[in-house]
Amino acid sequence: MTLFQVGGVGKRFGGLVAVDGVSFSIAAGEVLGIIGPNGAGKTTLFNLMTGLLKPTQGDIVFRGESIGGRRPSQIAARGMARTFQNIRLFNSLTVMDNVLVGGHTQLGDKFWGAFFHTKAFQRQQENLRKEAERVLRIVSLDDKRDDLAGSLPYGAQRRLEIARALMSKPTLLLLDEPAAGMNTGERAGLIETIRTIQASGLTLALIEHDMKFIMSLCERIVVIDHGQKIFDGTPEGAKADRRVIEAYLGAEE
Amino acid sequence: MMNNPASDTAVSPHQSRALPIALATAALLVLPWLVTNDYYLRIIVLSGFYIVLAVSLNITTGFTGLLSVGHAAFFGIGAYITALLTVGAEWSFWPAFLLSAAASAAVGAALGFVSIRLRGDYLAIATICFAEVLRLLALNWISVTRGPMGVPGIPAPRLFGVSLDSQQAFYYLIGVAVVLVIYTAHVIQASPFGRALFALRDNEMAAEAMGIDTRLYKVAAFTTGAMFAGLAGSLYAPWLTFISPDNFSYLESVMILCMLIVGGLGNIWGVAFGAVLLTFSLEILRPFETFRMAIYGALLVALMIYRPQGLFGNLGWKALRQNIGSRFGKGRGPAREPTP
Repeated sequence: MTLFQVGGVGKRFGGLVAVDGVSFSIAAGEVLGIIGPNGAGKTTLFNLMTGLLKPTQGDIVFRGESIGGRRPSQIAARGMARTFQNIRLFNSLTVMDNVLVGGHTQLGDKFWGAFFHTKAFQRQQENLRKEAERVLRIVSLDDKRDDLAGSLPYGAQRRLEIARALMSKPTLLLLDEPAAGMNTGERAGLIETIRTIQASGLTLALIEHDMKFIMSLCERIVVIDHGQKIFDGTPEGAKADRRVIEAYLGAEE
Repeated sequence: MMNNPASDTAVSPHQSRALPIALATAALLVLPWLVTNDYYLRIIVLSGFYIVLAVSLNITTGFTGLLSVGHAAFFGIGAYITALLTVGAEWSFWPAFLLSAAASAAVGAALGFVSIRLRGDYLAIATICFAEVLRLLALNWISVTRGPMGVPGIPAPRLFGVSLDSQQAFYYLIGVAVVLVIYTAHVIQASPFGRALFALRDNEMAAEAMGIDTRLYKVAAFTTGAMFAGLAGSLYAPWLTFISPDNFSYLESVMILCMLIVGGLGNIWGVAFGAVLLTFSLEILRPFETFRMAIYGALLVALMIYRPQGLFGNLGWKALRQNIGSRFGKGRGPAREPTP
């Protein structure tokens, strides 16, 4: 079943064509890898998918509805969550609060219950906190819950971004270079975490440079170069594809 | 949590704090009868007004990171609406009071809405202009506002047939407003609404991607701040009995912002303390006459050099250390974006 689909999506910044008529779909339950050389337009593609940028052409369909031109917050509320390549945490908030912000879309009443101290509100807060603790355990940050997010080491900050995204109970989770800057041990741990997440029924799409990382997680990859899709298939197929090799190693003159 | 059996044997934090709180409340309740000097009592009441202004601006600027330098305008809207309705239209105080808070909130929402795309310095400039335009309007729309002549003879509120024109009565009136604004600020701070405001302050793009409609929350932050300022203004008019556009100048807005910075941006009790401190220091410095503002300015500069996060900066030692770390290139990851 197709969960997500981009059809001929393009983004133009003035004269620069960052993404040029890219089409692909993501089936429910799969882990899709998106790779490509630096500056190929991968992050722009993610920004288009999550609504942070508006496509100049094409259409994006998520859970059977067109989301092109919707606000990021609306798309998030529909069940899409993401992490950022350059970490974007709420640095002055604690680890716990960062994750609780992720639960924003799960809440109905956000103020009045607190103002009047209602029982229902306290129960809602209690449940949210329990869920946050569960999510923090998935990324092994449960012992850091009272630390400030900005004070965490780099790898932990990346994991916290994943926890925050998970907290919104997404159906589709987009990870933008989740392993960037991590050492081998941290990478292995991250792969385990992502497998756990996938096993819980989530669909994932991830941008990554590390081919070993991609190989151990994805059954299918999409390769982007110069804003265009040049390959869509198995990782093994990509390794043998002439255009992919050219994109990475340069074409023979 | 409240019925934790462990708290039966040991002294719970609730119990150990209950006594000091009760004593402080009692002291504050009898204060206007102990301070017999009318001048001192006036300063105390005045600091009450500034507490409401500072704590409400803290919701917009401290919690949400929207640098507003036009808070006095909302104070002025509240004061003018109450003054004009009770003097000219002979309304009684209470409906004018409610309308003042509502109108101020509405103008706050409108300013928030047009300022959605502005941030930092640009937002500050927009709010300054907004406040100046309103002041000029009050100054020049003479047929309605009486312009520079101001509005004299504003009647005191009446409650059950009793005129609340004494200094003690205003002490309690502004006291209720202080309690309300501090309580609301605390609720916001602990609620998902407040968390969304903090998130938006720390990283707008991430907040939006997590499902927070940042437009809505910016408008809400402006509206809440403006509403309390309007409410304070509405009490201010009958307290002064005479208001003119001079009462709500740009300097007034800057002063409120200073209270936030001195007390510690984002910290509710800190900014309340900042409000009291600045109100009193300006009065204490009165004997120095010409040099008064110069000394005051020098003190502010010294404070910013030795304690840039304010007296009660809510970042805490940990964040401070991290900030220092990143300043010298040791910190990893993006440094905390400075809150304006």
